[in-house]
Amino acid sequence: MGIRRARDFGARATERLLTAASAASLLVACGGGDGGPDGASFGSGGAGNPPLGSGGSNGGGGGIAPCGTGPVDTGATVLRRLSALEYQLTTQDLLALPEPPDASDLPLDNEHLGFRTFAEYQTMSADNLRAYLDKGSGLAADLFADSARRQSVIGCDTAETDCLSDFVTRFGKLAYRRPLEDDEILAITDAATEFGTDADDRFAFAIEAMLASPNFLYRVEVGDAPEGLSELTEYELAAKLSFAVWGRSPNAELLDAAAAGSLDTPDGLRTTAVAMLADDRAKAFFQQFFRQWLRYQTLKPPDASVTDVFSDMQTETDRLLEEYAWGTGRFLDVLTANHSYVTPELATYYGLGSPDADGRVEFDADDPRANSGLLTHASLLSAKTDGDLIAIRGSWVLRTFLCQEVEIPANLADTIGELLVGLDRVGIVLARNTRSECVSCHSVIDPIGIGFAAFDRAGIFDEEEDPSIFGIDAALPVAPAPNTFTNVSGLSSQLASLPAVPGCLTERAYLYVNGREPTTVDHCGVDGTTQAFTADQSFRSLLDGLVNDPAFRLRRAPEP
Amino acid sequence: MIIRPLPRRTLLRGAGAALALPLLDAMMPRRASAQAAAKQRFFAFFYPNGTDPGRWEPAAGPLDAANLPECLVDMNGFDAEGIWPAGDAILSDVTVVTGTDHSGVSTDIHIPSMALSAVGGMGNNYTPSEPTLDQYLADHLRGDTPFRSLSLTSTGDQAISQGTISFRANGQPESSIRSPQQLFENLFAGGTTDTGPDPAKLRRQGLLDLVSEDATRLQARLGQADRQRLEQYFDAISELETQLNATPGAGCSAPEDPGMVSGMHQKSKLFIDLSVLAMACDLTNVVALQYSNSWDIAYGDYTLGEGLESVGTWSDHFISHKLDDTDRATDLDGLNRDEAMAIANARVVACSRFKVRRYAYLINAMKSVVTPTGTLLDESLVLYCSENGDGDSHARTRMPVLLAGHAGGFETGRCVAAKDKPTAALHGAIIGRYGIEVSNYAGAAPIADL
Repeated sequence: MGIRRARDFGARATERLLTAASAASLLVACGGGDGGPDGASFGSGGAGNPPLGSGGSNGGGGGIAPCGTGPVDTGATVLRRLSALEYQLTTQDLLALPEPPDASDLPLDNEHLGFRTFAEYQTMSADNLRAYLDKGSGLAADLFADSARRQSVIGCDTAETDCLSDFVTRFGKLAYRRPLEDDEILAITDAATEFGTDADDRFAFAIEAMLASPNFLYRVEVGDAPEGLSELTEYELAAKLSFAVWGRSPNAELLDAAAAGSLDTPDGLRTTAVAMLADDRAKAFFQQFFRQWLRYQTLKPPDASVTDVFSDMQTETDRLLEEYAWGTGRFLDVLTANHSYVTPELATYYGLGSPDADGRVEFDADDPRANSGLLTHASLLSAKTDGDLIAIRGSWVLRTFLCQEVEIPANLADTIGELLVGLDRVGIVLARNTRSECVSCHSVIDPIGIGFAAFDRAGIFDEEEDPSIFGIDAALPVAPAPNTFTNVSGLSSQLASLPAVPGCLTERAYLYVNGREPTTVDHCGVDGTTQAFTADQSFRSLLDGLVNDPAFRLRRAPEP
Repeated sequence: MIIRPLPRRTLLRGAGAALALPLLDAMMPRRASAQAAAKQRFFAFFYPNGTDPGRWEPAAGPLDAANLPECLVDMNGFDAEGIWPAGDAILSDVTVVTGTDHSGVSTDIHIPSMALSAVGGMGNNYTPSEPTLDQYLADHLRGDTPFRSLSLTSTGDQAISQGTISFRANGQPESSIRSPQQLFENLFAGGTTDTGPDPAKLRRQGLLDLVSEDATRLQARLGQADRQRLEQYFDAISELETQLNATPGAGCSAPEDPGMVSGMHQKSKLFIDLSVLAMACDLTNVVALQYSNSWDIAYGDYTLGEGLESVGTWSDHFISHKLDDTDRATDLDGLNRDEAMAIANARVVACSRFKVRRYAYLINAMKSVVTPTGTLLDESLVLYCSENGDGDSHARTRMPVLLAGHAGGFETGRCVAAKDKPTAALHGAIIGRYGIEVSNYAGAAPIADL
C-alpha cells in the first residue's frame, strides 16, 4: 500500500465535504437539528435583518411579527445599479432595437448563489462608467446609421429648433423613469449644443449623457422620505413593477398610467401586473431567472466535443420550464414531466430516438429519465465545477429547492482529513455518513446525490454505474418517511409535493426581483406569496404575489 | 533542465516578438522625468491551488542557488516555452517567506477572493471585510498616476468567491478587467501624446461634467446610505477625468492593440506585459493579477514533465490533489501506490515550477524597465500568493509566498520563516516597507525580520 500521508486523505475528504459549501451564505442546521456543536447556523452576508430561514417558513418563530396586524414593513435595499441584463433590455426599448444589444463589453456582474442580481455586489467603478459611456456612444452611432430607427426614436427633424428639447424631455422621461425637471432638460440641451459637432451629434451627445447618468444607471427609489421607511412615488412604483416583471424600464404607457393613478390602489396594481405577466417580455425575463435559480446559465464542457450541444441543453430546460411556468398546469409538475424538448443533436447526445417536428420526446416507462422532468436534464446534471458529484448534486438539490446551504465549520475543515485516512471512494462516503463530525450534514446531502450516481459528469445515464456500491439508499431525507427512491422520478415526485419547495422558490424569485434575499422583516409578503403559490401551483401566482405584496410599494433605506 | 541565463535585452526582444507589442520602445530608459525621487509600486500575482510546501520551502537564511527546493529551481533561470520567453535568474531579486498562516482569513477552501485579505469575510467566507492589500496600498501609492490600481483577472468566472481578488472596504468587489484588449483600450486607446485639445477628449469631458451635475442633483434627494453608495459613481467620474487628462511619461508609445485573445495563459501574459508597461509609463503604481480561478487552469499547451510524469491536459486543480481525491489525475489509478505517489508529487512540482516561471517572467519584465533611480523592480514589491497552502490538503497554512523587489530597501535573496504568523503579519511588513506606519495591521505585528 505504500506510505499514506494524512494530508493526502485529508484532501479527498475535505474536498468532498467542502465543494458543496464553497458558495454558502445561508446556512442551515443539518439533519433537521438545530445546529451542531460545531456551529452550523443560520447566517447571511447581507447587513441588516437576518434572512429568512429555509424555504417554507411560515413565520411565527421567535421575534417575527405576526402578519396583517401591524404596519407593513420591508427590509433595507441599497441603491441598485442596473444589471447587465436590465441595461440590455432597457436600451433595447429606448433605442427601438430588434434585439437586446450585446453587453459583452460591460464589466461582468458578480454572481452569488447563481444569481447576478445581488444589489450589494453590483458596484460602480471607473471601468463600469467607461464601459457605459463607450456603450452609449456606440448605441447612439448605430441609431443614427439606421434611418428608420432614428426616425422612430428621435421623432422630429433634428434641424428644427425645439426638436432637441422635445426629444430630451421625452427620451429623458423614459431613461430616468420620471419626468425631468426643467433645469435637467436645460443642462442636457445646453451641453449637447456646446459639444455636438452638428445637428445629429447634439442628439447623440444627449443620448450618451442620459445613458451614463446615475438617474438611468441606478434604480433610484426615494419615495416620500429619503431615510427609513418610505412609500414609493407613482413613477418609482411603475419602475419597480416594470423591472420586477419585465426586467426593464417602464414604457411611456405605464409611466403615464402610473401618473394618472392606475397603480395607486391594490386592484389597480394587480390589473396592471396581470396584463404585464401575460406578455412575452415576462417570459423572457424569467427565463433568465430560471437559468440563475437552477444554475444552468453557464455550462462547463466535460470535453470540447460537447460544447456544441450546450445551447440545445439550455433550450431543453428553457422550453420545459416555459411550458409549466406559463401554461395552465401545476408549475412543480415540471419536476415530474415525462417528456422533453430536444434537438436531433441533443437526442443523439442522450442516446434518445428522434424527436417529433417540435422537438418533443416522450420517455418509455423504463427510461432512466422517465417522469423525472427537469431533474435529469443534462443542463442541470452536468458538472459545472470540479468536485465530488454526490455531494455537489445533493447540496444543489437542497440549495435549489429548499434554500438550504450547508457549510462546514471552519475548524473542522483542517482537521477532518485525519479521520478518513486509508479509505477508498466508497469508504469515504460511508465514513462521512457515519462519523459524528460529518454525519449530520452528509446524511442529508449524500442520499440525494447517490440518487443521481448513475448519471455521469456530462449528465448522461451510464448503465455501468452501480449506485448500490455505496450501501446507502437513495433518499430525500428532509422529506417525510418513507423518502427513499430508486429512480430519479422518485425524488422528483417527492420534491414536487414537499411543502417547503414553494417557499424556497418564492424566496429565490424574491431575490431575483428585489436584488437581495428576504429578511425576517419581509416574511409576511413571502409567506403570503408562498401560500397563494402553494394553493394554485401557478408560477404566475407566485409573481403576482411578489408584486402585489403591500411591502412592494415600500422602500427602506439602509442604515447609514 | 538547461539553465541558460539570458541577457536582459534578449528577454525583452522575445517578449515583444511573441506579443507583437513594441514593448521595447516603451521600456527603454527614456522617461525624461525630472523627478529623481523613487516611485513606489506594488504588484500582486495570484496563482491558485497552492503548492507542495515540503518541496517549495527553503531553509531560512540566504538562498543557495545550488540547493533550492525542487519547486523553486527555476529561480536560477529557465528556457522558453510556448508563448513565454526564456528568463534570467531571479534568485537575487526574491525573498521566500515560508510558514504564513492564512486559515484565520480564509475559513473555506478554494476562495481566491480572500487571497489578498488579512481579515475574514463580511459575516461570510468570501467578501473581505477590509480592503485587500492591493486596494489598501492603492490609496497610499497612487501619487499622480491616472489609474488608482489595475485589477486584472484572466478567468471569466463570475462567482464572487472565484472571479476577483480585489475588494474595497465593506466587502465591495473592485471591478476587474477580464480582457487584455479592454485593458489596452483603457490604458492606451486615448492616445499617449499630448498634442493639444483633442475633440474626443473634450466631448468626453463634457459628458463627465454633465453627468457629474446630474449626480450632484440626485445626491441632494438621497438619504445618507444612498449618498454613500453614490460616492462610487463620483469616484468613477473623478477617476475617468484623471485618466482623460493624463499625459503618459515621455517616451511611452502605445503598443499595438493585442486584439481578442482567449485562454488564461495568453491573457495573463498580455496582462503582465500591458500592466508592466502601464507602470513603466507611470499610468499606475498598483496592480493585482489573478492568473486563474481555482478550477480552470490547465497545461495542455505546454510540456510539463515527461512520460508518466507529464502533467498532460489535467487541470492544475486535479494535479494539486495527487492521488486520493475525486478530482485527481486518474491515469495513475492502476499503479502501485509508491510509484503513483512519486509521479503525483513530480507533477505537483512541475506545476509549481511553471507557476514560479510565470512569476519570474513578471519579475524579469519589471527588472528590464530602467527608471531614473534604478529599475521598476527596485521601486516595487511583487507578491506571489495563492488561496491554499498545501494544494493537496487545502490547508491554508504554509502558504506559498514570494516577495520580490526593493521598495523601501527590501532585502532579497533570502528566506524568512514566518513561523505560523498570520497573513496580517506579512501584509503589515509589506505595508511598512512603503513607509506607512503600522505597528499592528489587522491585529498582528509585522513579521519583524522581513
